[in-house]
Amino acid sequence: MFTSPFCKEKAAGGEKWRRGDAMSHLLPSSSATYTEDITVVGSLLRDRIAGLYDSILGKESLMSGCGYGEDGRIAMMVPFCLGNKLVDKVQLVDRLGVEANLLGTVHVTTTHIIFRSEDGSKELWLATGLIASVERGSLSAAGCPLTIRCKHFQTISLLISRDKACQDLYETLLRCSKPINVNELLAFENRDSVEDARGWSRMDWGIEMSRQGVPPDTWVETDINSGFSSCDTYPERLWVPASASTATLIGSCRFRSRGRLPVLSYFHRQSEASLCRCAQPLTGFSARCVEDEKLMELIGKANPNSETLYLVDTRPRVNAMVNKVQGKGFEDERNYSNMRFHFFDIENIHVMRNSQAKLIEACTKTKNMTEYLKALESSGWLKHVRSILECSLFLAQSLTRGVSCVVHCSDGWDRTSQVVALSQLLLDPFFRTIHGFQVLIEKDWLGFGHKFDDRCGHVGALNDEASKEVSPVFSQFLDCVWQIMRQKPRAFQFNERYLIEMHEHVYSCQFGTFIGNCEKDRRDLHVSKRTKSLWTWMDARHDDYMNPYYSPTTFVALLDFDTRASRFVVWNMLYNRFDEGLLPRERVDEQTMTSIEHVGVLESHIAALRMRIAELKTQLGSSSTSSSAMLDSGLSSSGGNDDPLQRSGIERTTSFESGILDLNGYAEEVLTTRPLRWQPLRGATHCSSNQCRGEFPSVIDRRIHCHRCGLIFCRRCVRVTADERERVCEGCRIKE
Amino acid sequence: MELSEAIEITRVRDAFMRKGPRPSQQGELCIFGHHLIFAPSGTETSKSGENPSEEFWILHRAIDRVLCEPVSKEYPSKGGLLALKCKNFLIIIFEVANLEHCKAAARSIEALSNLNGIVHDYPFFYQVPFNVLDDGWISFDVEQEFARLSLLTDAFRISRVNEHFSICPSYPTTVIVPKGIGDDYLRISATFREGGRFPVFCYYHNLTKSVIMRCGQPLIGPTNRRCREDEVIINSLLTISKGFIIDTRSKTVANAAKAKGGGTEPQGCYAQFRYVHCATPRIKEMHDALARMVEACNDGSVSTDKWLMRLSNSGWLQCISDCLNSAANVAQCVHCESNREVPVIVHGGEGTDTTLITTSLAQLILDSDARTIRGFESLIEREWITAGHPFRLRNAHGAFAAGLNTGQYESPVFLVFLDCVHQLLSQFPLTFEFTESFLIFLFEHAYASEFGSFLGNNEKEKFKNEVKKRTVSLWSYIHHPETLRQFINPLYDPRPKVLWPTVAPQSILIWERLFFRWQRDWAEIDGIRSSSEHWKLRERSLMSRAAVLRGVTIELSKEAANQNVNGVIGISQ
Repeated sequence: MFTSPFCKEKAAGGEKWRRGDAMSHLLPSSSATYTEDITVVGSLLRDRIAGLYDSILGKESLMSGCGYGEDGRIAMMVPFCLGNKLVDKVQLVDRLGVEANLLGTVHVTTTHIIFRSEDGSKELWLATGLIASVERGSLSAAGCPLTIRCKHFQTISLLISRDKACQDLYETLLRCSKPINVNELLAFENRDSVEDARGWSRMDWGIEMSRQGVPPDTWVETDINSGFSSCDTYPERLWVPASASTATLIGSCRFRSRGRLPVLSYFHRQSEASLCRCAQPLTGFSARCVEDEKLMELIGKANPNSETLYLVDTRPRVNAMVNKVQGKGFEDERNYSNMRFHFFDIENIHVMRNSQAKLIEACTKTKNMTEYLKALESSGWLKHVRSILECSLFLAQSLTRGVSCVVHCSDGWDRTSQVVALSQLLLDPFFRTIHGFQVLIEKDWLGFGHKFDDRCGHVGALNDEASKEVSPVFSQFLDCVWQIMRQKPRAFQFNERYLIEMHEHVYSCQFGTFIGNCEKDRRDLHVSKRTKSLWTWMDARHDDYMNPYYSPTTFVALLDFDTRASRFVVWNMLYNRFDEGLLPRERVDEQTMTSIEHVGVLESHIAALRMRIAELKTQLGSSSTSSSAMLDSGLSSSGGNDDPLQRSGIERTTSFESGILDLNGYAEEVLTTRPLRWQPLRGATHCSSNQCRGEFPSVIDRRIHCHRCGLIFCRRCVRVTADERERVCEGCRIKE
Repeated sequence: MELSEAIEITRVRDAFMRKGPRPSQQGELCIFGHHLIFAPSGTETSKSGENPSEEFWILHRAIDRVLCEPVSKEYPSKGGLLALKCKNFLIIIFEVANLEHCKAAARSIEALSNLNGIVHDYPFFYQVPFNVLDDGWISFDVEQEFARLSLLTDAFRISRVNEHFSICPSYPTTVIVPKGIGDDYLRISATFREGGRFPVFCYYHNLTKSVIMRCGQPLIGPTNRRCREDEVIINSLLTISKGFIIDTRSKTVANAAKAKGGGTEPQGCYAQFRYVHCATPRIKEMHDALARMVEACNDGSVSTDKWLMRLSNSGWLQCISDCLNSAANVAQCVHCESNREVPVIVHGGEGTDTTLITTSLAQLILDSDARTIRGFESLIEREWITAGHPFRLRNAHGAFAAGLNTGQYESPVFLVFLDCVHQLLSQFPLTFEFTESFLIFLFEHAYASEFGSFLGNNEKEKFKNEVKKRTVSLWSYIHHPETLRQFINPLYDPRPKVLWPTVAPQSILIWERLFFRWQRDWAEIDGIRSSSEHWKLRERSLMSRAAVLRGVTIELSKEAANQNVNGVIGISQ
């Protein structure tokens, strides 16, 4: 969801739209009298439109009696809106069976499915992009069950009283969860024109390569792929050994699956070893390619410390052998003079897909411990996570020892992306910062063409062919990152929430960042012009993602990462994120983050108090003298002796006094009445704003304290003050 | 028998600690009556910054299993390996140059760690190095407990029917019982309950005025005996709502007990009570589960599939989840059953093991006082030590022991309880005044201690051996301010409400700090903990400083306002 959309705003006279940032600048802030009528009409219209977009994009909550009741307006706004938009008398079933079912209405828009309970106590928003599957049960006395499973592991169970309505909703959901054209994705509907350039230029290859310290005499940028001419799934700018000729590169390119030749991904400055990635070679049973062998040799030679090169094939040997039949396969060690070959048993996307499905099954359906552990074992998820991390650790250790590595799997965009990115995460502290992690994703996932469209099933996974392409490769990568974080909690600038929200938005399609299968796709779709970047959105939430324990200087490489089986556990916070009953009720890290923020607020509060006390003391100490001074001055002025110093003294005292009188009010109001104790995080399920009262959708959603009243609000009910020093709620802002 | 008779060799030179709680070291082993001491040679300097020449002491009682074998079968002259597996899951391996010395040491340690009875135990010889400020032996007595209770309700009285432990050997001399019941009824009821454990008061929940009682199983037997006096006692608890009898055994186990003279209360005679089976594992199952669990956790090279399989086969986590589940059920009966004044009777077989886990966990869930350090101590004192959990029998051996020295009565029942508390603690880390290390500390002391609290099986044994006169209570040590400081959770924020833990399989976690304590480096986790503490304490101190400054500001501004008025008057004059 765009933000956690649980904020309602009701003005006294009825509903009021909150302006989108986009539209507010169009509105005249102070209109002249004679144009007032026109302006009001115009602004009303604009407000309506802006508000409608806001509501569609989940920024604004449903208003009673707004568009959804009057269907026409939505239909007008959204041309491809689907037939049935409103199903009432729907019961939302509590999956754990703890609470009673909620009766309410389901609204369907092109972008969201919204459940709203009749008493208004609950609102549930779901971006259509997040729908993974919809299941219809058979009609029973209670109603017709409909289960929506989501890609961010939420399961929504509905009971619909009428069979016909259920069928309609079922079909509608099926259709709108699987757009046929990429241009139908939610991201392209997001026309909010926030200044977005920063997010779209998160990664600059040149800057990143010089940050890594790539020596310009051994590694150079090549223009072989400009205009995506050689390899359409690679970025345009590639770094290769300086000694490699264009002919060598083109030859190697032809010899590699989909033209994905070996290129530099990471240069390890300390050991001067490099990490390169590519796709499998087209060896078949006996084919060779002199240029490819030459290129490998040059990659080896680019490392002054060791010419030996580790070639890591992340696939199990059997899989690699099977590929030989199709004219692909793996390099023959005999043909590459300087190479050591290593296989790692990381399974393919199909195995991972089934594994995750079984894991989710284990996390949601099992009733007792034995059953759960059995299901976990048969899912093999932890085994796969472990094998990926073992391979990544091997790469990181080899690079530290000064041995360059070349990594490939089949096409070099799934397993290769995982292990290459993870090994860099283990090696380079930069990638463990909030910003650096985005660069890492831009580089090794987006840049080198991980097929987000296909793997996440953004578009039309209607046929079997397409659904076989879907696989949780990126989710698994995030899971691996979390496993590292769990062992090294002080090595990361970001926290768990960062990964979880990123995971959600990879699937939600609200941002253009993860749309398309490669850079070329995104270029062709003009995503940077037509959509928003997730990074911009995340930048605005920077402090939500801070890890309170981050210790930037303690860790360089995390080579002592422990890969024993008992170290790997299920990431409950991701897979059971919406089952609040199953998660810890209190979290030490969140508490610490709040304490840190509170300490900051208290410190400035104490400073203000100190200043005030000092002022009062001087006033008290000087007031007797000042009054005598006044008397003196009065006497002297009567004596006709105009002393400018004394006069200014009088002026100062008077102004000082009037200042004090003002400050007295200020002190009573602000300095001494503001609550020192903040609302505890525990049990904070709703936003404290009376207008909002929105429920936090999951435990992971940030509870934000107002710096003045100390109550907890949702993100949309607090604003940072103009001087960027405080975060205050609506109520406290008005009071001021 | 004198302790010295068991010692065949007092000094073993040239011992090399290959594996243990610290980096490998050369040194010397010394065997004393109660301790095994490893004295490092002291010439090497350790990198870890610890004092390398510091001796390493371990109580013989803490050693669970001693293994001795030659380094090489063919060449006995190469020396021997002495492996000590401790009750706290620590494994120490020494390489001893002389095989005969090694064997002699192994025999001595084996004998000393398996002494019968408690008379030779270390607490009787221990000299406390601190002043006892707050004597643990008298901190928690029944009279005080009753005084507190009588503020809330007058439905109970103190009975000294068990004076001289004549009726029930495992109960203390004074117990709290329902008010309307005379001692004669209790005496008769005791004959009808396993181990003489007649129904006694356990916990009063003031919010709903419900009460938890516990007892042994009724001795119905195959002939369906009845005991009218027992029925009167149980039924006297009823006021306005129906009650519950919670049996911690499964239905089959309870039925099987009937053939052996035990059984369940027949519905006909206790008509106003609903009978509920909350199956918890039997003590033997717990013991086996722990042994398998520890074995699995100590195997570092295992594959992921094997690991999960062994975890599941061990059944330890299942034990934990069962126990938590039955406690949550009891708590629900007490707190949630929309009615008030619900009497809940809890028993298993003997009423000394799973019954106590259930009642004590239920109190942690229900009662915010029990979540403080003092309250938790009181809970352990009331519900475990004086309630007659046979610590000496159950904790004679731990997860490693096997062979002749072990028996059928050993079981980590108390550890199961502590692990359950740990689950609560990890679900509600801000709700408990104590930390995880407090639980581990209690675990270690329950098995081997220099303090007398966990000595003996019950109050009667303690009385006979004059434990309370001759030893120091563990609580006296904990109450010492310096000790207490280590165990206080700075993030503690009292929550007066009832806790509802989750017992779903994915929320039951392995107690890593317990099972992987000696295998992992905990510096990271400790670092995090201390930075959380740092920020919390800083927040607190700033809050109080701000409050003080506010007071000053208000004072000063009042003064200033007064003076201003005066000043203005002065000018106008």
